[in-house]
Amino acid sequence: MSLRMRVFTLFAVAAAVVITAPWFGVQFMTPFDIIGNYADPMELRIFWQLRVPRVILAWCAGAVFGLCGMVFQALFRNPLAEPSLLGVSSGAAFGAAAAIRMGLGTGLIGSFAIPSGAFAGAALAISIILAFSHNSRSASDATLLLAGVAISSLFSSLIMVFQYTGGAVEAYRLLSWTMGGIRVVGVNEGLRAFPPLVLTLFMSLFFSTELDLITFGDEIAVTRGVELEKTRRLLFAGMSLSVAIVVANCGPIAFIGLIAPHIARRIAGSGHRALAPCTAALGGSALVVCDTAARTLWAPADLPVGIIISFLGAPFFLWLLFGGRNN
Amino acid sequence: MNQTAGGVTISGLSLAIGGVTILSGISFGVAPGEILYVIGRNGAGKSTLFKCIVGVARGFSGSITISGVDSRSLRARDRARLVAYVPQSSPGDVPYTVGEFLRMSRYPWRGVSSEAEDRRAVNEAMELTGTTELSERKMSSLSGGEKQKTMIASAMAQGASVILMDEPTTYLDYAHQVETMEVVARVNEERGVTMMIVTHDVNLAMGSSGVVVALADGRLLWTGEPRGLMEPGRLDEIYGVPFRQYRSDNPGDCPILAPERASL
Repeated sequence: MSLRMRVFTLFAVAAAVVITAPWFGVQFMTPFDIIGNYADPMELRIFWQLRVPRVILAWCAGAVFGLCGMVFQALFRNPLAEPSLLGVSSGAAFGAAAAIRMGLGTGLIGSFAIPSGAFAGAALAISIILAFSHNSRSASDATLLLAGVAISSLFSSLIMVFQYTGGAVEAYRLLSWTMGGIRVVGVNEGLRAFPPLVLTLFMSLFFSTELDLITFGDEIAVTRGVELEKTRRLLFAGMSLSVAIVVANCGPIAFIGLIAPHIARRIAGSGHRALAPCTAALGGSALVVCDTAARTLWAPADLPVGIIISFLGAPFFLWLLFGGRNN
Repeated sequence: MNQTAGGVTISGLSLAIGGVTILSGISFGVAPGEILYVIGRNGAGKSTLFKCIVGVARGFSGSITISGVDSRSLRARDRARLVAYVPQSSPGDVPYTVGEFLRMSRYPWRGVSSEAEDRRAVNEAMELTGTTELSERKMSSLSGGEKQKTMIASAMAQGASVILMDEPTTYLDYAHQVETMEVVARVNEERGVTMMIVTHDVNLAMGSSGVVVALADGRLLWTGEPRGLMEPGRLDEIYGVPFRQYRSDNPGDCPILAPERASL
């Protein structure tokens, strides 16, 4: 198949996923349930206020995780770099949890304080990683990931302190949120991951040639005219902000940032201009599929989608680690 | 001094990293269209000198003027239009094709040159370097010689009038060394591109009509025409080992310079 055909097929599948997902749930719906005069107002509400916003949020969140993974992989020149493996997601989760723990988690204050806390946490994690990888120029694949593991467990332990010392209700809220779940009521909540999606997609496309050149190493990038430090700073800031907003809303969902760009590369090649939209489509669709599974497999129980993603993502990660990436 | 395109003037260039002096008061000039060889022992500062000129190393004092423009005042893109760089080690496992890489090399001209101009620059660079048939190959599948030719093609496609190459033949077998230097000569003669080359092969410089700059401990030790390297004691001083000249039976040939060895 030509590149054009492959990309077209991917987008067709992505569209099909988005269109079919809202019909699944505790109860399977058909268009006849919500169209026409006999539509049940209850089912109408479930469809438009719960299911459609949830699919939109999941899609945007998955796309953001995918794009951030793609950008981190280019900036660190490490095929395994990804927001959660680098500890950026848990940094954001810590920041958001701190905001919740300080009692800033509800109402209008919460909708501002939680993402802000998440951004501060994500920025802190990125700064630690950057300080670390700057000091050891030859930081290999493995060292970077191990640093990510260390940063993750640092923040996770702090989150656990919040959980342990908080009240029962708060602790349960924190626990289910850190497992990564997509719960929304209403269209407005469904659109919360849309601005970060616009930001990450715009930045990935705007800097697509820079990302390509950075893949060749700092020396090639600089001598071909890339303003390396400025580009890097902008991309890190944009990606941390986006991850933070998504984590604040959906929890630290792992592995999408690893899986989506890797599969997208096999479809669209390595050039970031074609890779970025394909990564977004794959990440979005993957999270929608997993979220649909999360709310149907054990219905009426609503499993946190992070559990399903981790269950599927961990073997994929191992496969990448042990040679699967040399295609 | 060298106000025209392709001239490079270095004056009083010094650089210290972490309190250690790497370069100290280096001054020399390269005329447009010239080939300049930089020689010296390991650690003499050759690669660092090049990194200063192409904008990879910063924080130096003194001045670097490329095509009449002070390098320090340049944005990365503008500098990349004037000077291109072939680093010592070429990128390893990059998942792009040669053609994709060469098109990326037009980056400094984005928004300035048309798509047709970009395509023409890439095609010309591929023709002149003999890399046209590599264009669909993945960079990671190239041999050492092919990779080096691709790197030169990339520097050419970039459209700069000065190209700096750090040890372009070091990792190549004899056939590919000859081929690479032929490509360098073609780019220099047919396009009038100024070439600055770091090399450990003094005979490479001897056989050319270029200029030689010898560095030692971050200082300019000697500069002059290649035949000056034959003066007694010159190479001994540069490299710290005794050298001998091996003359061929044909008096017109350039002698071969090599270090004296305990047993030959």
